[in-house]
Amino acid sequence: MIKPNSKQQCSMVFGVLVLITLGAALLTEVSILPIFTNHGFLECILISLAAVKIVLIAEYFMELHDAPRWLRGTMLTWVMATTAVLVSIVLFGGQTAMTSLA
Amino acid sequence: MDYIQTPILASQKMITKTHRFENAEYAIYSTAFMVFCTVLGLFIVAPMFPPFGQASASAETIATFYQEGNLSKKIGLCIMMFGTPFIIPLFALLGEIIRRPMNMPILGSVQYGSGLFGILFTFIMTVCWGTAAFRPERTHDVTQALHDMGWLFATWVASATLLQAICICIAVFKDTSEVPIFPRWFGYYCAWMIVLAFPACLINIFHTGPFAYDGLLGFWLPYIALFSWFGVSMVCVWRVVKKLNMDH
Amino acid sequence: MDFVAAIKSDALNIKKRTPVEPDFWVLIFGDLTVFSVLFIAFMLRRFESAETHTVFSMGTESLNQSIGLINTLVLLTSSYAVVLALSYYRSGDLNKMIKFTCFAIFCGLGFVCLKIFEYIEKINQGITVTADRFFELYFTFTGIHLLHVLIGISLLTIVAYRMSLKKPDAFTTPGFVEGVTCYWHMVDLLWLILFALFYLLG
Repeated sequence: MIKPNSKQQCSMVFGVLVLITLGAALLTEVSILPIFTNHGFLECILISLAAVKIVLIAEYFMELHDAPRWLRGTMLTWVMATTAVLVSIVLFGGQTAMTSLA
Repeated sequence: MDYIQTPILASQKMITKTHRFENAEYAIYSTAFMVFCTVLGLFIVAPMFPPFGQASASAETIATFYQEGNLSKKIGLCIMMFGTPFIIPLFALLGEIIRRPMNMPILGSVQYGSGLFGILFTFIMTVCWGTAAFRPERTHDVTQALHDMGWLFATWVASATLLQAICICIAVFKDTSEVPIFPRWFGYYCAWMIVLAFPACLINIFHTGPFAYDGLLGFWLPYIALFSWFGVSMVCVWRVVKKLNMDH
Repeated sequence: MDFVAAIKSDALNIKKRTPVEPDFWVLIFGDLTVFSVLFIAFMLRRFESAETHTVFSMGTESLNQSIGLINTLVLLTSSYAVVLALSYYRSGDLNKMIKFTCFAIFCGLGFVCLKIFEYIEKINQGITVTADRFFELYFTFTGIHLLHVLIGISLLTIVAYRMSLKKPDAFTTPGFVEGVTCYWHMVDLLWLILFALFYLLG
Protein backbone atom coordinates (compact mmCIF):
# COMPACT_ATOMS: atom_id res chain seq x y z
CA MET A 1 0.00 0.00 0.00
CA ILE A 2 1.24 3.45 -0.91
CA LYS A 3 1.74 5.64 2.12
CA PRO A 4 -0.42 8.78 1.99
CA ASN A 5 1.19 12.06 1.13
CA SER A 6 2.07 14.12 4.19
CA LYS A 7 -0.53 16.90 3.95
CA GLN A 8 1.15 19.14 6.52
CA GLN A 9 4.44 19.06 4.67
CA CYS A 10 2.74 19.87 1.35
CA SER A 11 0.83 22.76 2.91
CA MET A 12 4.08 24.22 4.19
CA VAL A 13 5.67 23.82 0.78
CA PHE A 14 2.67 25.53 -0.83
CA GLY A 15 2.99 28.44 1.60
CA VAL A 16 6.69 28.79 0.83
CA LEU A 17 5.97 28.71 -2.91
CA VAL A 18 3.39 31.51 -2.65
CA LEU A 19 5.75 33.58 -0.48
CA ILE A 20 8.62 33.17 -2.94
CA THR A 21 6.36 34.13 -5.86
CA LEU A 22 5.14 37.27 -4.10
CA GLY A 23 8.69 38.07 -3.01
CA ALA A 24 9.99 37.75 -6.56
CA ALA A 25 7.21 40.03 -7.83
CA LEU A 26 8.09 42.58 -5.10
CA LEU A 27 11.79 42.41 -6.00
CA THR A 28 11.08 43.77 -9.47
CA GLU A 29 9.30 46.75 -7.89
CA VAL A 30 12.16 47.78 -5.58
CA SER A 31 14.88 47.71 -8.22
CA ILE A 32 15.90 51.26 -7.21
CA LEU A 33 18.05 49.81 -4.42
CA PRO A 34 21.77 50.45 -5.10
CA ILE A 35 22.64 46.72 -5.12
CA PHE A 36 20.46 46.19 -8.22
CA THR A 37 22.12 48.88 -10.32
CA ASN A 38 24.71 46.27 -11.22
CA HIS A 39 23.25 44.92 -14.43
CA GLY A 40 22.18 41.29 -14.47
CA PHE A 41 22.15 40.79 -10.70
CA LEU A 42 18.37 41.00 -10.38
CA GLU A 43 17.89 38.67 -13.35
CA CYS A 44 20.13 36.04 -11.76
CA ILE A 45 18.21 36.23 -8.48
CA LEU A 46 14.85 35.89 -10.25
CA ILE A 47 15.97 32.87 -12.26
CA SER A 48 17.44 31.23 -9.15
CA LEU A 49 14.19 31.83 -7.23
CA ALA A 50 12.27 30.12 -10.06
CA ALA A 51 14.75 27.21 -9.86
CA VAL A 52 14.19 26.93 -6.09
CA LYS A 53 10.42 26.80 -6.65
CA ILE A 54 10.85 24.11 -9.29
CA VAL A 55 12.98 21.98 -6.97
CA LEU A 56 10.33 22.34 -4.23
CA ILE A 57 7.53 21.29 -6.61
CA ALA A 58 9.52 18.37 -7.97
CA GLU A 59 10.62 17.12 -4.56
CA TYR A 60 7.36 17.44 -2.63
CA PHE A 61 4.47 17.71 -5.11
CA MET A 62 5.84 15.21 -7.63
CA GLU A 63 7.04 13.07 -4.67
CA LEU A 64 10.60 12.77 -5.86
CA HIS A 65 11.93 13.05 -2.28
CA ASP A 66 11.46 9.32 -1.76
CA ALA A 67 12.13 8.33 -5.36
CA PRO A 68 15.14 6.28 -6.46
CA ARG A 69 18.40 8.12 -6.84
CA TRP A 70 18.53 8.05 -10.67
CA LEU A 71 15.17 9.83 -10.98
CA ARG A 72 15.95 12.48 -8.38
CA GLY A 73 19.38 12.94 -9.88
CA THR A 74 18.04 13.42 -13.41
CA MET A 75 15.49 15.97 -12.22
CA LEU A 76 18.04 17.92 -10.18
CA THR A 77 20.54 17.78 -13.04
CA TRP A 78 17.91 19.17 -15.42
CA VAL A 79 17.07 22.05 -13.05
CA MET A 80 20.73 22.83 -12.32
CA ALA A 81 21.81 22.66 -15.97
CA THR A 82 18.96 24.86 -17.24
CA THR A 83 19.50 27.42 -14.47
CA ALA A 84 23.26 27.46 -15.01
CA VAL A 85 22.89 28.03 -18.75
CA LEU A 86 20.27 30.78 -18.29
CA VAL A 87 22.32 32.57 -15.62
CA SER A 88 25.52 32.36 -17.66
CA ILE A 89 23.69 33.82 -20.67
CA VAL A 90 22.54 36.71 -18.44
CA LEU A 91 26.04 37.28 -17.06
CA PHE A 92 28.04 37.00 -20.29
CA GLY A 93 25.41 37.96 -22.86
CA GLY A 94 24.37 40.95 -20.76
CA GLN A 95 27.91 42.30 -20.79
CA THR A 96 28.26 42.03 -24.58
CA ALA A 97 24.87 43.69 -25.06
CA MET A 98 25.92 46.55 -22.80
CA THR A 99 29.29 47.02 -24.46
CA SER A 100 27.70 47.16 -27.90
CA LEU A 101 25.36 49.82 -26.54
CA ALA A 102 28.25 51.94 -25.22
CA MET B 1 -20.34 -30.58 -44.95
CA ASP B 2 -18.65 -31.36 -41.68
CA TYR B 3 -15.90 -33.09 -43.52
CA ILE B 4 -15.09 -29.94 -45.53
CA GLN B 5 -15.49 -27.42 -42.76
CA THR B 6 -13.38 -29.01 -40.06
CA PRO B 7 -9.95 -28.62 -41.66
CA ILE B 8 -10.67 -24.99 -42.60
CA LEU B 9 -11.68 -24.20 -39.03
CA ALA B 10 -8.63 -25.96 -37.70
CA SER B 11 -6.34 -24.00 -39.95
CA GLN B 12 -8.07 -20.73 -39.01
CA LYS B 13 -7.57 -21.55 -35.36
CA MET B 14 -3.91 -22.13 -36.02
CA ILE B 15 -3.58 -18.79 -37.80
CA THR B 16 -5.26 -16.83 -35.04
CA LYS B 17 -3.33 -18.55 -32.31
CA THR B 18 0.22 -18.19 -33.53
CA HIS B 19 1.71 -14.75 -34.00
CA ARG B 20 4.96 -15.61 -35.67
CA PHE B 21 6.43 -12.94 -37.91
CA GLU B 22 8.69 -14.76 -40.34
CA ASN B 23 11.47 -12.78 -42.01
CA ALA B 24 10.51 -9.63 -40.12
CA GLU B 25 14.13 -8.49 -40.22
CA TYR B 26 13.62 -7.38 -43.83
CA ALA B 27 11.23 -4.65 -42.58
CA ILE B 28 14.03 -3.37 -40.36
CA TYR B 29 16.58 -3.51 -43.19
CA SER B 30 14.17 -1.70 -45.47
CA THR B 31 13.66 1.10 -42.91
CA ALA B 32 17.42 1.36 -42.51
CA PHE B 33 17.65 1.69 -46.29
CA MET B 34 15.08 4.50 -46.23
CA VAL B 35 17.01 6.38 -43.54
CA PHE B 36 20.23 5.82 -45.51
CA CYS B 37 18.64 7.22 -48.70
CA THR B 38 17.29 10.25 -46.83
CA VAL B 39 20.59 11.05 -45.20
CA LEU B 40 22.56 10.47 -48.39
CA GLY B 41 20.12 12.30 -50.66
CA LEU B 42 18.92 15.22 -48.58
CA PHE B 43 21.86 15.86 -46.28
CA ILE B 44 24.94 14.97 -48.32
CA VAL B 45 24.36 14.94 -52.10
CA ALA B 46 21.70 17.67 -52.28
CA PRO B 47 22.16 19.71 -49.11
CA MET B 48 18.49 20.65 -48.75
CA PHE B 49 18.69 19.92 -45.00
CA PRO B 50 19.27 21.93 -42.83
CA PRO B 51 17.68 25.08 -44.34
CA PHE B 52 19.86 27.83 -42.86
CA GLY B 53 17.99 31.14 -43.08
CA GLN B 54 15.93 30.17 -46.14
CA ALA B 55 12.52 31.09 -44.71
CA SER B 56 13.44 34.80 -44.69
CA ALA B 57 15.73 34.74 -47.76
CA SER B 58 14.93 36.66 -50.96
CA ALA B 59 13.80 34.94 -54.17
CA GLU B 60 17.23 35.61 -55.70
CA THR B 61 19.00 33.77 -52.87
CA ILE B 62 16.74 30.74 -53.29
CA ALA B 63 17.23 30.78 -57.09
CA THR B 64 21.02 30.94 -56.61
CA PHE B 65 20.74 28.08 -54.14
CA TYR B 66 19.21 25.94 -56.89
CA GLN B 67 21.60 27.17 -59.63
CA GLU B 68 24.71 26.26 -57.63
CA GLY B 69 25.34 22.52 -57.80
CA ASN B 70 22.17 22.00 -59.80
CA LEU B 71 23.05 18.49 -60.97
CA SER B 72 23.95 17.24 -57.49
CA LYS B 73 20.60 18.55 -56.21
CA LYS B 74 18.78 16.64 -58.94
CA ILE B 75 20.68 13.43 -58.14
CA GLY B 76 20.16 13.83 -54.39
CA LEU B 77 16.40 14.33 -54.81
CA CYS B 78 16.31 11.28 -57.10
CA ILE B 79 17.92 9.18 -54.34
CA MET B 80 15.43 10.59 -51.82
CA MET B 81 12.48 9.85 -54.14
CA PHE B 82 13.69 6.28 -54.58
CA GLY B 83 14.14 5.67 -50.85
CA THR B 84 10.89 7.21 -49.55
CA PRO B 85 8.51 4.22 -49.79
CA PHE B 86 10.92 1.81 -48.10
CA ILE B 87 9.47 2.73 -44.70
CA ILE B 88 6.16 1.05 -45.61
CA PRO B 89 7.27 -2.41 -44.33
CA LEU B 90 7.90 -0.96 -40.87
CA PHE B 91 4.43 0.61 -40.76
CA ALA B 92 2.89 -2.62 -42.04
CA LEU B 93 4.71 -4.64 -39.39
CA LEU B 94 3.69 -2.21 -36.64
CA GLY B 95 0.09 -2.35 -37.87
CA GLU B 96 0.16 -6.14 -37.98
CA ILE B 97 1.56 -6.36 -34.43
CA ILE B 98 -1.21 -4.03 -33.21
CA ARG B 99 -3.81 -5.98 -35.18
CA ARG B 100 -2.95 -9.59 -34.29
CA PRO B 101 -1.14 -10.12 -30.98
CA MET B 102 -2.55 -6.96 -29.39
CA ASN B 103 -5.98 -7.56 -30.96
CA MET B 104 -6.83 -3.94 -31.91
CA PRO B 105 -7.57 -4.19 -35.66
CA ILE B 106 -8.97 -0.68 -36.24
CA LEU B 107 -6.06 1.04 -34.49
CA GLY B 108 -3.64 -1.04 -36.55
CA SER B 109 -5.33 -0.05 -39.80
CA VAL B 110 -5.50 3.65 -38.88
CA GLN B 111 -1.82 3.55 -37.92
CA TYR B 112 -0.91 1.99 -41.27
CA GLY B 113 -3.13 4.37 -43.24
CA SER B 114 -1.80 7.50 -41.60
CA GLY B 115 1.73 6.21 -42.18
CA LEU B 116 0.98 5.92 -45.91
CA PHE B 117 -0.58 9.41 -45.83
CA GLY B 118 2.65 10.77 -44.35
CA ILE B 119 4.76 9.13 -47.05
CA LEU B 120 2.63 10.94 -49.63
CA PHE B 121 3.60 14.26 -48.03
CA THR B 122 7.30 13.40 -48.11
CA PHE B 123 7.02 12.30 -51.72
CA ILE B 124 5.31 15.53 -52.82
CA MET B 125 8.00 17.48 -50.96
CA THR B 126 10.62 15.77 -53.13
CA VAL B 127 8.54 16.48 -56.26
CA CYS B 128 8.29 20.21 -55.40
CA TRP B 129 12.03 20.57 -54.89
CA GLY B 130 12.69 18.45 -57.94
CA THR B 131 10.52 20.79 -60.02
CA ALA B 132 12.34 23.79 -58.56
CA ALA B 133 15.69 22.24 -59.55
CA PHE B 134 14.41 21.19 -62.99
CA ARG B 135 14.64 24.66 -64.63
CA PRO B 136 17.07 26.72 -62.54
CA GLU B 137 17.04 29.60 -65.08
CA ARG B 138 13.32 30.41 -64.71
CA THR B 139 11.78 33.39 -62.86
CA HIS B 140 13.08 33.54 -59.31
CA ASP B 141 9.65 33.94 -57.70
CA VAL B 142 8.43 30.61 -59.07
CA THR B 143 11.49 28.79 -57.76
CA GLN B 144 10.96 30.36 -54.35
CA ALA B 145 7.28 29.39 -54.34
CA LEU B 146 8.13 25.78 -55.18
CA HIS B 147 10.83 25.72 -52.51
CA ASP B 148 8.43 27.07 -49.85
CA MET B 149 5.75 24.64 -50.95
CA GLY B 150 8.22 21.77 -50.55
CA TRP B 151 8.99 22.91 -47.01
CA LEU B 152 5.32 23.18 -46.11
CA PHE B 153 4.79 19.62 -47.33
CA ALA B 154 7.89 18.47 -45.47
CA THR B 155 6.88 19.91 -42.10
CA TRP B 156 3.12 19.48 -42.31
CA VAL B 157 3.76 15.75 -42.42
CA ALA B 158 3.15 16.40 -38.72
CA SER B 159 -0.58 16.02 -39.39
CA ALA B 160 -0.07 12.38 -40.39
CA THR B 161 2.61 11.70 -37.77
CA LEU B 162 0.26 13.05 -35.10
CA LEU B 163 -2.51 10.57 -35.88
CA GLN B 164 -0.04 7.71 -36.23
CA ALA B 165 1.60 8.50 -32.90
CA ILE B 166 -1.82 8.79 -31.22
CA CYS B 167 -2.76 5.32 -32.54
CA ILE B 168 0.44 3.70 -31.31
CA CYS B 169 0.08 5.52 -27.99
CA ILE B 170 -3.48 4.26 -27.43
CA ALA B 171 -2.51 0.73 -28.49
CA VAL B 172 0.43 0.62 -26.07
CA PHE B 173 -1.55 1.99 -23.13
CA LYS B 174 -4.64 -0.19 -23.73
CA ASP B 175 -2.49 -3.32 -23.63
CA THR B 176 -2.91 -4.23 -19.95
CA SER B 177 -1.78 -7.86 -20.16
CA GLU B 178 0.73 -9.31 -17.69
CA VAL B 179 3.61 -9.10 -20.15
CA PRO B 180 2.80 -6.16 -22.45
CA ILE B 181 3.74 -6.56 -26.13
CA PHE B 182 5.36 -3.13 -26.41
CA PRO B 183 7.34 -1.58 -23.55
CA ARG B 184 5.33 1.26 -22.03
CA TRP B 185 8.06 3.84 -22.51
CA PHE B 186 7.45 3.47 -26.27
CA GLY B 187 3.93 4.79 -25.65
CA TYR B 188 5.24 7.71 -23.62
CA TYR B 189 7.82 8.43 -26.30
CA CYS B 190 5.00 8.63 -28.88
CA ALA B 191 3.06 10.95 -26.54
CA TRP B 192 6.12 13.21 -26.44
CA MET B 193 6.19 13.14 -30.26
CA ILE B 194 2.55 14.30 -30.29
CA VAL B 195 3.40 17.27 -28.10
CA LEU B 196 6.38 18.13 -30.29
CA ALA B 197 4.46 17.85 -33.56
CA PHE B 198 2.00 20.64 -32.70
CA PRO B 199 4.33 23.69 -32.91
CA ALA B 200 5.63 22.52 -36.30
CA CYS B 201 2.17 23.22 -37.73
CA LEU B 202 2.70 26.97 -37.23
CA ILE B 203 5.42 27.33 -39.87
CA ASN B 204 3.13 29.07 -42.36
CA ILE B 205 2.79 32.11 -40.06
CA PHE B 206 6.44 32.99 -39.48
CA HIS B 207 9.30 34.05 -41.73
CA THR B 208 11.82 34.46 -38.90
CA GLY B 209 12.32 33.13 -35.41
CA PRO B 210 12.04 29.65 -33.91
CA PHE B 211 8.75 28.81 -35.62
CA ALA B 212 9.86 29.50 -39.19
CA TYR B 213 10.68 26.40 -41.23
CA ASP B 214 14.38 26.94 -40.63
CA GLY B 215 13.94 27.61 -36.91
CA LEU B 216 14.28 25.64 -33.72
CA LEU B 217 10.67 24.48 -33.44
CA GLY B 218 9.94 24.46 -37.15
CA PHE B 219 12.92 22.34 -38.14
CA TRP B 220 15.38 21.14 -35.51
CA LEU B 221 13.21 19.67 -32.77
CA PRO B 222 10.58 17.97 -35.01
CA TYR B 223 13.19 16.43 -37.28
CA ILE B 224 15.38 15.25 -34.41
CA ALA B 225 12.24 13.71 -32.90
CA LEU B 226 11.21 12.14 -36.21
CA PHE B 227 14.59 10.58 -37.00
CA SER B 228 15.07 9.35 -33.45
CA TRP B 229 11.56 7.87 -33.69
CA PHE B 230 12.65 5.83 -36.71
CA GLY B 231 15.54 4.40 -34.69
CA VAL B 232 13.50 3.80 -31.54
CA SER B 233 10.60 2.13 -33.34
CA MET B 234 12.99 -0.05 -35.34
CA VAL B 235 14.58 -1.31 -32.12
CA CYS B 236 11.20 -1.77 -30.40
CA VAL B 237 9.61 -3.64 -33.30
CA TRP B 238 12.68 -5.84 -33.65
CA ARG B 239 12.55 -6.80 -29.97
CA VAL B 240 8.79 -7.45 -30.09
CA VAL B 241 9.12 -9.70 -33.13
CA LYS B 242 11.98 -11.62 -31.53
CA LYS B 243 9.95 -12.11 -28.34
CA LEU B 244 6.85 -13.26 -30.25
CA ASN B 245 8.87 -15.71 -32.34
CA MET B 246 10.47 -17.13 -29.20
CA ASP B 247 7.11 -17.66 -27.48
CA HIS B 248 5.68 -19.96 -30.16
CA MET C 1 26.83 4.10 17.86
CA ASP C 2 23.20 3.05 18.32
CA PHE C 3 22.11 6.20 16.63
CA VAL C 4 24.13 5.46 13.50
CA ALA C 5 22.90 1.87 13.45
CA ALA C 6 19.32 3.11 13.76
CA ILE C 7 19.80 5.48 10.84
CA LYS C 8 21.35 2.74 8.77
CA SER C 9 18.57 0.25 9.45
CA ASP C 10 16.05 3.00 8.80
CA ALA C 11 17.66 3.77 5.47
CA LEU C 12 17.46 0.11 4.56
CA ASN C 13 13.82 -0.15 5.61
CA ILE C 14 12.58 2.80 3.59
CA LYS C 15 11.51 1.44 0.26
CA LYS C 16 12.36 3.83 -2.55
CA ARG C 17 9.32 4.26 -4.76
CA THR C 18 9.23 5.58 -8.30
CA PRO C 19 6.21 7.85 -8.75
CA VAL C 20 3.81 6.50 -11.44
CA GLU C 21 6.20 4.12 -13.24
CA PRO C 22 9.75 4.47 -14.52
CA ASP C 23 8.65 4.57 -18.19
CA PHE C 24 6.41 7.59 -17.55
CA TRP C 25 9.42 9.84 -16.95
CA VAL C 26 10.43 9.50 -20.60
CA LEU C 27 7.51 11.81 -21.40
CA ILE C 28 8.20 14.25 -18.55
CA PHE C 29 11.92 14.59 -19.24
CA GLY C 30 11.34 14.74 -22.98
CA ASP C 31 8.96 17.65 -22.49
CA LEU C 32 11.22 19.36 -19.96
CA THR C 33 14.18 19.11 -22.35
CA VAL C 34 12.19 20.69 -25.17
CA PHE C 35 11.10 23.53 -22.90
CA SER C 36 14.62 24.14 -21.61
CA VAL C 37 15.78 24.44 -25.23
CA LEU C 38 13.00 27.04 -25.69
CA PHE C 39 14.07 28.97 -22.58
CA ILE C 40 17.68 29.03 -23.72
CA ALA C 41 16.60 30.20 -27.21
CA PHE C 42 14.59 33.00 -25.55
CA MET C 43 17.55 34.17 -23.48
CA LEU C 44 19.97 34.00 -26.42
CA ARG C 45 17.65 36.16 -28.51
CA ARG C 46 17.16 38.58 -25.67
CA PHE C 47 20.89 39.17 -25.25
CA GLU C 48 21.74 39.08 -28.94
CA SER C 49 22.41 42.83 -29.11
CA ALA C 50 21.54 46.03 -27.25
CA GLU C 51 18.67 46.59 -29.65
CA THR C 52 16.96 43.26 -28.96
CA HIS C 53 17.54 43.83 -25.25
CA THR C 54 15.53 47.07 -25.41
CA VAL C 55 12.78 45.40 -27.47
CA PHE C 56 12.46 42.62 -24.88
CA SER C 57 12.52 45.06 -21.95
CA MET C 58 9.80 47.19 -23.55
CA GLY C 59 7.76 44.05 -24.24
CA THR C 60 7.98 43.02 -20.59
CA GLU C 61 6.95 46.53 -19.49
CA SER C 62 3.86 46.42 -21.71
CA LEU C 63 2.62 43.09 -20.30
CA ASN C 64 0.02 43.09 -17.57
CA GLN C 65 2.15 42.12 -14.54
CA SER C 66 -0.76 41.62 -12.14
CA ILE C 67 -2.51 39.14 -14.43
CA GLY C 68 0.74 37.23 -14.72
CA LEU C 69 1.14 37.13 -10.95
CA ILE C 70 -2.50 36.06 -10.41
CA ASN C 71 -2.07 33.34 -13.05
CA THR C 72 1.02 32.00 -11.24
CA LEU C 73 -0.83 31.91 -7.92
CA VAL C 74 -3.86 30.25 -9.57
CA LEU C 75 -1.70 27.49 -11.05
CA LEU C 76 0.15 26.98 -7.75
CA THR C 77 -3.19 26.68 -5.94
CA SER C 78 -4.51 24.15 -8.43
CA SER C 79 -1.28 22.16 -8.11
CA TYR C 80 -1.77 22.14 -4.34
CA ALA C 81 -5.42 21.06 -4.77
CA VAL C 82 -4.25 18.15 -6.92
CA VAL C 83 -1.76 17.12 -4.21
CA LEU C 84 -4.60 17.10 -1.66
CA ALA C 85 -6.85 15.20 -4.07
CA LEU C 86 -4.15 12.54 -4.52
CA SER C 87 -3.69 12.15 -0.77
CA TYR C 88 -7.49 11.77 -0.29
CA TYR C 89 -7.52 9.24 -3.13
CA ARG C 90 -4.90 7.20 -1.32
CA SER C 91 -6.69 7.35 2.01
CA GLY C 92 -9.90 6.25 0.26
CA ASP C 93 -11.93 9.45 0.76
CA LEU C 94 -13.24 9.59 -2.81
CA ASN C 95 -15.84 12.36 -2.38
CA LYS C 96 -13.23 14.80 -1.09
CA MET C 97 -10.88 13.67 -3.85
CA ILE C 98 -13.48 14.53 -6.52
CA LYS C 99 -14.14 17.88 -4.83
CA PHE C 100 -10.47 18.87 -4.87
CA THR C 101 -9.99 17.65 -8.43
CA CYS C 102 -12.95 19.82 -9.50
CA PHE C 103 -11.38 22.77 -7.67
CA ALA C 104 -8.12 22.14 -9.56
CA ILE C 105 -10.05 22.02 -12.87
CA PHE C 106 -11.78 25.27 -11.91
CA CYS C 107 -8.40 26.92 -11.24
CA GLY C 108 -7.08 25.61 -14.55
CA LEU C 109 -10.08 27.07 -16.39
CA GLY C 110 -9.48 30.36 -14.57
CA PHE C 111 -5.90 30.32 -15.85
CA VAL C 112 -7.14 29.72 -19.42
CA CYS C 113 -9.71 32.55 -19.15
CA LEU C 114 -7.14 35.03 -17.82
CA LYS C 115 -4.69 34.04 -20.56
CA ILE C 116 -7.31 34.51 -23.29
CA PHE C 117 -8.28 37.85 -21.75
CA GLU C 118 -4.62 38.86 -21.89
CA TYR C 119 -4.30 37.78 -25.53
CA ILE C 120 -7.44 39.72 -26.50
CA GLU C 121 -6.18 42.79 -24.66
CA LYS C 122 -2.92 42.65 -26.63
CA ILE C 123 -4.66 41.98 -29.96
CA ASN C 124 -6.99 44.96 -29.38
CA GLN C 125 -3.92 47.14 -28.92
CA GLY C 126 -2.81 46.01 -32.36
CA ILE C 127 -0.07 43.72 -31.03
CA THR C 128 -0.24 40.32 -32.72
CA VAL C 129 2.02 37.36 -33.14
CA THR C 130 4.19 39.07 -35.76
CA ALA C 131 4.46 42.46 -34.00
CA ASP C 132 8.08 42.18 -32.86
CA ARG C 133 10.61 39.63 -31.69
CA PHE C 134 9.37 39.68 -28.11
CA PHE C 135 5.69 39.15 -28.91
CA GLU C 136 6.50 36.47 -31.46
CA LEU C 137 8.03 34.42 -28.63
CA TYR C 138 5.45 35.55 -26.08
CA PHE C 139 2.46 34.34 -28.06
CA THR C 140 4.01 31.09 -29.26
CA PHE C 141 5.66 29.95 -25.99
CA THR C 142 2.66 30.79 -23.85
CA GLY C 143 0.48 29.22 -26.57
CA ILE C 144 2.39 25.93 -26.34
CA HIS C 145 2.09 26.11 -22.57
CA LEU C 146 -1.64 26.83 -22.90
CA LEU C 147 -1.95 23.68 -25.02
CA HIS C 148 -0.34 21.73 -22.16
CA VAL C 149 -2.78 23.32 -19.72
CA LEU C 150 -5.76 22.31 -21.91
CA ILE C 151 -4.47 18.70 -22.16
CA GLY C 152 -4.03 18.67 -18.37
CA ILE C 153 -7.55 20.01 -17.76
CA SER C 154 -9.08 17.37 -20.01
CA LEU C 155 -7.11 14.60 -18.25
CA LEU C 156 -8.24 15.89 -14.82
CA THR C 157 -11.83 16.04 -16.09
CA ILE C 158 -11.63 12.41 -17.23
CA VAL C 159 -10.33 11.39 -13.80
CA ALA C 160 -13.03 13.35 -11.93
CA TYR C 161 -15.81 12.03 -14.17
CA ARG C 162 -14.73 8.39 -13.99
CA MET C 163 -14.28 8.72 -10.23
CA SER C 164 -17.81 10.04 -9.82
CA LEU C 165 -19.16 6.91 -11.58
CA LYS C 166 -17.78 4.89 -8.62
CA LYS C 167 -16.81 2.04 -10.93
CA PRO C 168 -13.18 0.95 -11.07
CA ASP C 169 -11.78 1.18 -14.59
CA ALA C 170 -8.55 2.04 -16.42
CA PHE C 171 -8.90 5.78 -15.66
CA THR C 172 -9.18 5.37 -11.89
CA THR C 173 -6.13 3.19 -11.30
CA PRO C 174 -3.41 4.64 -9.04
CA GLY C 175 -1.04 4.67 -12.01
CA PHE C 176 -3.27 6.85 -14.19
CA VAL C 177 -4.26 9.25 -11.39
CA GLU C 178 -0.65 9.69 -10.31
CA GLY C 179 0.44 10.20 -13.91
CA VAL C 180 -2.15 12.93 -14.42
CA THR C 181 -1.12 14.71 -11.20
CA CYS C 182 2.56 14.53 -12.16
CA TYR C 183 1.74 15.97 -15.58
CA TRP C 184 -0.22 18.79 -13.94
CA HIS C 185 2.72 19.59 -11.66
CA MET C 186 4.97 19.71 -14.70
CA VAL C 187 2.64 22.22 -16.36
CA ASP C 188 2.80 24.34 -13.20
CA LEU C 189 6.58 24.06 -13.04
CA LEU C 190 7.03 25.19 -16.64
CA TRP C 191 4.79 28.22 -16.07
CA LEU C 192 7.03 29.31 -13.17
CA ILE C 193 10.00 29.72 -15.53
CA LEU C 194 7.85 31.27 -18.27
CA PHE C 195 6.53 33.77 -15.70
CA ALA C 196 10.04 34.67 -14.59
CA LEU C 197 11.29 35.04 -18.17
CA PHE C 198 8.39 36.98 -19.70
CA TYR C 199 6.98 39.03 -16.83
CA LEU C 200 9.74 39.58 -14.29
CA LEU C 201 12.99 40.12 -16.21
CA GLY C 202 12.69 43.73 -17.25
